[in-house]
Amino acid sequence: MTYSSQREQQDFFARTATVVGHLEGVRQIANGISLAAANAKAVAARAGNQAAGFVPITNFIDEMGGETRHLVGRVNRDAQRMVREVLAEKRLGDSLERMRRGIERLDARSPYLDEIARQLTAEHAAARESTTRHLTNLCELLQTISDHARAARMMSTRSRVEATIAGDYQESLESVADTVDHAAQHIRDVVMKCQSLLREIN
Amino acid sequence: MLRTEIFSGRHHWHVFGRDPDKLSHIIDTNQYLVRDQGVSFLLDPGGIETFSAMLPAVASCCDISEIKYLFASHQDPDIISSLGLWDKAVPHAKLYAPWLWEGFLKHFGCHNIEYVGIPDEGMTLDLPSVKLHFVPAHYLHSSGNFHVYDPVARVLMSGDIGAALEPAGAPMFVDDFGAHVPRMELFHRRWMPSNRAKNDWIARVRQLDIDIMAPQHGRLFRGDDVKRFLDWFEALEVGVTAQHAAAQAPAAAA
Ligand SMILES: [Fe+2]
Ligand SMILES: [Fe+2]
Repeated sequence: MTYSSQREQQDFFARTATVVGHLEGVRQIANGISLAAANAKAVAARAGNQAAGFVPITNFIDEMGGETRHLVGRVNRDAQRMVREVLAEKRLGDSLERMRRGIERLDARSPYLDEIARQLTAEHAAARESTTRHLTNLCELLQTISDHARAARMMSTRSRVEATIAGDYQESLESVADTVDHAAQHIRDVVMKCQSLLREIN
Repeated sequence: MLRTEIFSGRHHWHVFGRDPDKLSHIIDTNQYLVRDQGVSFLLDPGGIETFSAMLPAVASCCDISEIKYLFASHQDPDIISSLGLWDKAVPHAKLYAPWLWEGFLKHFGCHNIEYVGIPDEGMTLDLPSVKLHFVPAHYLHSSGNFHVYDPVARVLMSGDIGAALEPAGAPMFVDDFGAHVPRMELFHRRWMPSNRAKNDWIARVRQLDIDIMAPQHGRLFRGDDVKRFLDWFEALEVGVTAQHAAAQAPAAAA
């Protein structure tokens, strides 16, 4: 990752803030999935044997909704920590730059200041490395969320099959499957947007 | 950055200022260094924008590792926003600054340097050959504010008191007090908020034996100009904005 110009830096903050904003939306959608799953459970309970095949599916979707909410919380925390880290890295880079400019103007070399600059350079490089590492982790977490959403879509397809044998409850179970499918598709779209925002930084 | 030695004895006082490379939109500042037998003390080290010029200027008169103490008269950015950089350059040093500003000054970055809060009544600092005094100057202009008095060199480093707004390249010392007054007037009227604090400070400072009064902006005062400054400042009404002055003018004319 390079932060050579202030514009790039501002761009980074804007991108990270956008990602955090998008993820807040994902959290709300995940809440919707959990609600749909609860709804489906209630319908399945009323349908009894007619919807027996539906129960494990709703359990799975319910778990997935919870897991997605949990992951989004983690990604948000990580993104916020990364913003703090980037700020600290920027501050170190700025200190290093000002220190170097001062050292360049010395009449005679100062071994003491050379050592200070060496330490600062190492500190800055470590900060940079850590930021890059966190960015990679963030991208991996986003991928996990996306995988969860894909699994939810597959489950909603299975739900539709199960709904066809649920008799009177077919319509309400199909509507639950649709809700989950839309929500999962929406999550995948948003996560893809976040991934492409972060890829451009990386 | 120009360097001028203003006292030379067993210890030395240097002033740094009139930086020819200074950005035009930032106020010019005077930074001071007391060097005493291998121990150096940096007073009002300046803003973050001044650091790259200050570092080689200070290095021209002492080894940077010799700097054991720093002082901030108050919390303003032109005084001490370079703190985060000095924190890297002299991590072993101590910063003497008003206790009132500790939590605020640390926003500039103070992870290594030890912050020594000066109590309201002031305190002293022992250098190898001189005991320096932190003299209270609260509300002049900052609500927690100190000056530094050296009874051996008879120097009073007076922070923003005695400051003048001048064009670049002004001489280091006042040579014609009358001509200098207009350069100080607006600054003191507007930046100094309290006549009571002003009179209190004048009474305290009149008891000191001062050869050089060294402000953080503009020219330094020496000899009789120190007394002239105190008399002028005593007569000046402070805590006045241009609006106040305009509102008072018709009443005074009537
Ligand atoms: Fe000030
Ligand atoms: Fe100032």
